[in-house]
Amino acid sequence: MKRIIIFVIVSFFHISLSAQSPFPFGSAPISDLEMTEYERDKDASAVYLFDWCSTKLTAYNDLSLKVERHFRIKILKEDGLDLALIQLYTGEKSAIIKFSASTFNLEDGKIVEAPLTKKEIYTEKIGNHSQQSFAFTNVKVGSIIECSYTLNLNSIFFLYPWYFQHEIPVAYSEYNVTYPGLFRFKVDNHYNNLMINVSRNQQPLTIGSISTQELTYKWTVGNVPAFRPEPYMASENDLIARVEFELAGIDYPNYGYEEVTPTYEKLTQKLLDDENFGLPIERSAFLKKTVDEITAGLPNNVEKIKAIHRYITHNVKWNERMGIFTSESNFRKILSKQNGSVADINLLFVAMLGHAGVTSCPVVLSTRENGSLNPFYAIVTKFDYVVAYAKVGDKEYLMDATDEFRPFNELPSECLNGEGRTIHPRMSKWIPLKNNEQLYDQIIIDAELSANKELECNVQHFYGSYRAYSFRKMLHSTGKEGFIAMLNATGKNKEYSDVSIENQDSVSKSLTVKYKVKIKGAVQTTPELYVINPMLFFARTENPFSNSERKYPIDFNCPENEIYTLNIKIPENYVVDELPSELNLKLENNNAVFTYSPTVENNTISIRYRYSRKQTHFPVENYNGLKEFFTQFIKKQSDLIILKKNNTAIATNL
Amino acid sequence: MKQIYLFFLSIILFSTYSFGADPLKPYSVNSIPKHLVINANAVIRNDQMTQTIEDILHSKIKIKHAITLLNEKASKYRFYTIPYNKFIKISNIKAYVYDSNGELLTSVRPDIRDVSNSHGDLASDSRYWLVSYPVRKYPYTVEIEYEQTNTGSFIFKEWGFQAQPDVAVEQSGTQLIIKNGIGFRVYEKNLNQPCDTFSFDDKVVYTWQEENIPAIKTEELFLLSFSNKMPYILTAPKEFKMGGIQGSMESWESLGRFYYDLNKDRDMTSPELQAKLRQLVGNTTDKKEIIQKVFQYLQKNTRYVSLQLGIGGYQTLEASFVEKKGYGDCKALSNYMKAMLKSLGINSYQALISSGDDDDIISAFPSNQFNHVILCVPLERDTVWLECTNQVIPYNFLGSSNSNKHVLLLTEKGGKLVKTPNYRTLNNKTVSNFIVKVDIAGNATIKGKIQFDGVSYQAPRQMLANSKEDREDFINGLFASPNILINDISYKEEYKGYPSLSMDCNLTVRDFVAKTRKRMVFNPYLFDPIPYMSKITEEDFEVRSYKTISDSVLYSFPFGYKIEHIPAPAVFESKFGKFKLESKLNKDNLIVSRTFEYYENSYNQEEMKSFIEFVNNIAASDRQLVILIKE
Repeated sequence: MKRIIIFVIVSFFHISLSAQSPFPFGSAPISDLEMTEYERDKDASAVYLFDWCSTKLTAYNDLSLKVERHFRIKILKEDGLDLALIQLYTGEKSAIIKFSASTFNLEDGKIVEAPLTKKEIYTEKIGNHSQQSFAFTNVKVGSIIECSYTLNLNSIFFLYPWYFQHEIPVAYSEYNVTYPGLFRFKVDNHYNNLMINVSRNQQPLTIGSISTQELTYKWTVGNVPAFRPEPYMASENDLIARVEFELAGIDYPNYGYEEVTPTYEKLTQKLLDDENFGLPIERSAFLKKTVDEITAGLPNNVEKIKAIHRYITHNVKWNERMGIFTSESNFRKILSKQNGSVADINLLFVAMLGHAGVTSCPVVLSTRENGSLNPFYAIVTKFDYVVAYAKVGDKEYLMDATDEFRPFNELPSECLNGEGRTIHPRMSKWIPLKNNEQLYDQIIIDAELSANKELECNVQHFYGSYRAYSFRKMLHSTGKEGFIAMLNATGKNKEYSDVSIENQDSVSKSLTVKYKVKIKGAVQTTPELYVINPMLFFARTENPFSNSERKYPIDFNCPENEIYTLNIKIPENYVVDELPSELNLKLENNNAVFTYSPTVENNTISIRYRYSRKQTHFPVENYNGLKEFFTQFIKKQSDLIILKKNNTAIATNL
Repeated sequence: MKQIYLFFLSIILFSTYSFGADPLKPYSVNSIPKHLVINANAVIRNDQMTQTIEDILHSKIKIKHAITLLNEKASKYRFYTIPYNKFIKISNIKAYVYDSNGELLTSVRPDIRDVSNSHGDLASDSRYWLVSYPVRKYPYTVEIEYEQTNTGSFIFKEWGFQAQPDVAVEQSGTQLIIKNGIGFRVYEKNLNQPCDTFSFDDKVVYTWQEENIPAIKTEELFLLSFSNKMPYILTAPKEFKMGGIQGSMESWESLGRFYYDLNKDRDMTSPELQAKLRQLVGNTTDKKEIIQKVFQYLQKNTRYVSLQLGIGGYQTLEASFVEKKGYGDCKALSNYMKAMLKSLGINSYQALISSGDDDDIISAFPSNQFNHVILCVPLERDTVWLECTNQVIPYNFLGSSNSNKHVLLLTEKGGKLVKTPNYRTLNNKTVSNFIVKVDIAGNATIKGKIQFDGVSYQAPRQMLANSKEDREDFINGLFASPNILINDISYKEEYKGYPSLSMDCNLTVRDFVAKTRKRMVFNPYLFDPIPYMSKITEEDFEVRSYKTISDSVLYSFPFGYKIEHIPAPAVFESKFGKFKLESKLNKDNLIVSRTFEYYENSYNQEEMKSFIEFVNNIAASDRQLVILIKE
């Protein structure tokens, strides 16, 4: 992809009408200036009255992309004022060629225009890009700002993506794209729930001696709601309504079609032949010796995988770069540099597994932040991560070697994003991106009331999978003392002692933390009663779904399991007056389950609950069910144990 | 002469290497004294800066900085930034990586790139060089060297010998080489070694060196303020020049005069604007009223846009620019406000301030420690303060980030250091009155009013004015309950000489009580109870807040339940504050009222114990329960 050479197509003349903004500049009606809130969204700080764009790819002497944009924004609240500072990012050499920008205000019933000139654009170099900034004049709450500009860009690979949706609502959005039929683009559309009209037009086009078609696509949509993030939401990249492009290939008359980015069918071969993907693995014979040394004497393939994983995590540090192509065409350099990107590390992992005789191959994927993959068109630039796949017997593993605190068979949570694509000459397929990653907690507490009504607890907390990972990572940076200091800093009514940590360094096992804690105020007393909340300080108090409405699907990343047990001795001279009731909650198909059960035996009260959520993705229709589930779950955590003074016993003693 | 001088310098620098280290491989990890590795994520091997002040306009800085990264946590020290602008030129950047044996890795090349520093500015010429060293297997050492040429000796660089608590220091120092006759001043804090001085030719060399500073344990960071402990020096010139104007930092008075001169005569307004303002003011003669009207005009007609170019970083844009364009930065907007007031015959002063939640400036050391400009309008009996960059902030209110800070007033008679009001102690009050009806299902309706006065007004003002989600978040947070349904909410802002906001609300809370078979149990305190506290410091401490909170709630209960238990009354009074809880049981209702007042003050360490006791008594009282039982 980095090595695309596009032939310059020589042409002589070309006439075509380009699309024009249907809105004359400065034609906002007085009613728009008088508007004080946007009817469809009264909270909106501003609204795009329209947002129009037309992109045209021409192939005369040079390939160029002309982008014309025209928008009008009504400012409705103080925080909308920020929109009056515009920053455009363009290529280093591309520039704004046509420019009009004005502010419109209502003064004494008349519309007053404050125009901006091209001279007031500030240009600044930022990396390989150029930033053009300008600030509208005299903008206040109530103003309308309007802008129209034309940009010439010299990169056509992505054409020009268009966002129908923004952080403020858009009353009308229109996008036009025109390009010669010689070019083929993969169109990645994220319409989400919007009713977007698309139309296609074509007309004959002659470029020099070449006859082809000029294609025009037009997208229009009205009343686009503002995009507002919600808790437990998938990547914004999956949810903001927009259309994106990637150049698929060029159809040269007389020469035939040249593919620029492959289809899924051809992706495998293309990657396997790539200087920075398949070839480094092929050319890695020199690794054999090291692999033999590391795996010498190991009884089976799983042990060999673990050894190689340990070797890589300890000898090559991840430099925090992502992507699917290696930085060097040879792994020798990676090993001597002792650092590398995701691709450097995980493709090296695949290569070493191969030398150990383990069936393995790379899996390319898109991370959660980057958004989901288009299942029909291979938008190749969407892949931003590569992991290693291995098969031992019937068992399949997905693995990543960028972090020594993760067991070999656990992927980073960022990678749990639907499906990835295996890259193997004979078995290219989609594969679900997960092993058994989850959030796992088990807490066991044995508690007793002390004479001064403090609760003395023995706590054992088992952290599994991702919980263990983040805990180990934290311990590595704070040390055990730092962790104890943090414990002491969090709850001032608690006094910790005898803190011990088990399995900190055995990353494949769950991590156990044990401690004693005395809690002030855990038992509320009256002359007759002891009132105890059995959740102590482990209660979830916040419902993640407190909002009354939900727009987007709920996305949890991974499953969750929680097991809680509290055993509490009934103090002398007290009897159980009331206990929490049993409760069983479940969602459809047992996708989430909560069971709560209290028992009394041998003068000890036991409260047990288990919460287990298998499903990670819930459609928006399930929101109310899920919200109710969590509301009940949280409500249950405020249930109380009430103990009463045993007056009869005291009477007997008298 | 020059050669001798350089030779001399290199001796000084070389001699600072610690004894015992292999002079050819000074960065070997083994040579770090063991006590420095404890608690450290990185160790500064040697960090040296030499500033040579040639004359009032020209100075040079040479920096050499070597740090050993011991583990992953030190990864952040892989990046080194070198800021520059029109007045600062950077040259000869050299960056090296050494392995754990102190062996220079010639094949490893750090990435050095030129980066813009103008995030969100309309325009800025502030940029920096970003040096990124590669990640390697730890430990390894990175080193940087560069030179800086300054035009205008306005900025002397400060020197923190230990920049971060998790970094130990083998050797760190700075040198000031200054021509005889050029005056400078220095502020020293927590130094272990005295300054060493000697002269040669027409120069004087001042050297400060500190060594063997251990890192600070993570847990101790909870106990003490790092910035109060660390060795630090701040140097500043006596005389300097900028934009052709000579200035002096010998006193706040002279520094203020420089800024005043740099910005003077930039406050002209057009006759049209003046006419408009006169019309706006009409017959009003009360100065405060006039200021208020003009301030409202400013808020309605301008907005904040950052523009930092050349000397514009220090000099304001003309008032006429803001008048025409309707925007400006803090200097330009406060200057514009000043210009408008001037046209109405009201005198005012721009005031430099270090805005933000950090500590105040070092008031004993006149130098440029500011990052923001506000406006001060002195009246006969009173002073009005204006924050000119915010469209919604009330008149004569600076907000908590500008509260109780030293500011430098720029007056025609020079600078004057004064303090802004302490808003934490001014009318900072919340008062609430609610009626709560608990129903038979254990749900409740809450109806009533809460009033936020003074600085307390900020958070509700911000949240309530925003979206529905923000209003819901605010209410959920305030009432500390996850199951609130807002039936109705409205608020009113009022200016009573201080900002004030009153909010009426009508809420339904699901599962307000914990219901058992026989009982209903709940905490009658509607808001977040104050947290328990344990010992946090061995040192003197400060309570940086002052507030009066008073709440009164009238509860009524469902038919069929009677009171089994109500909270015991409580009164705690100490030098830290006052607390009172009363619960009054009437025929069919219960009134719980709570008042809590605490004072802003500094206390010494012996008082910590009684402070904790005071807080924990209140924390316990705030957690008392009401218990109802079926009749």
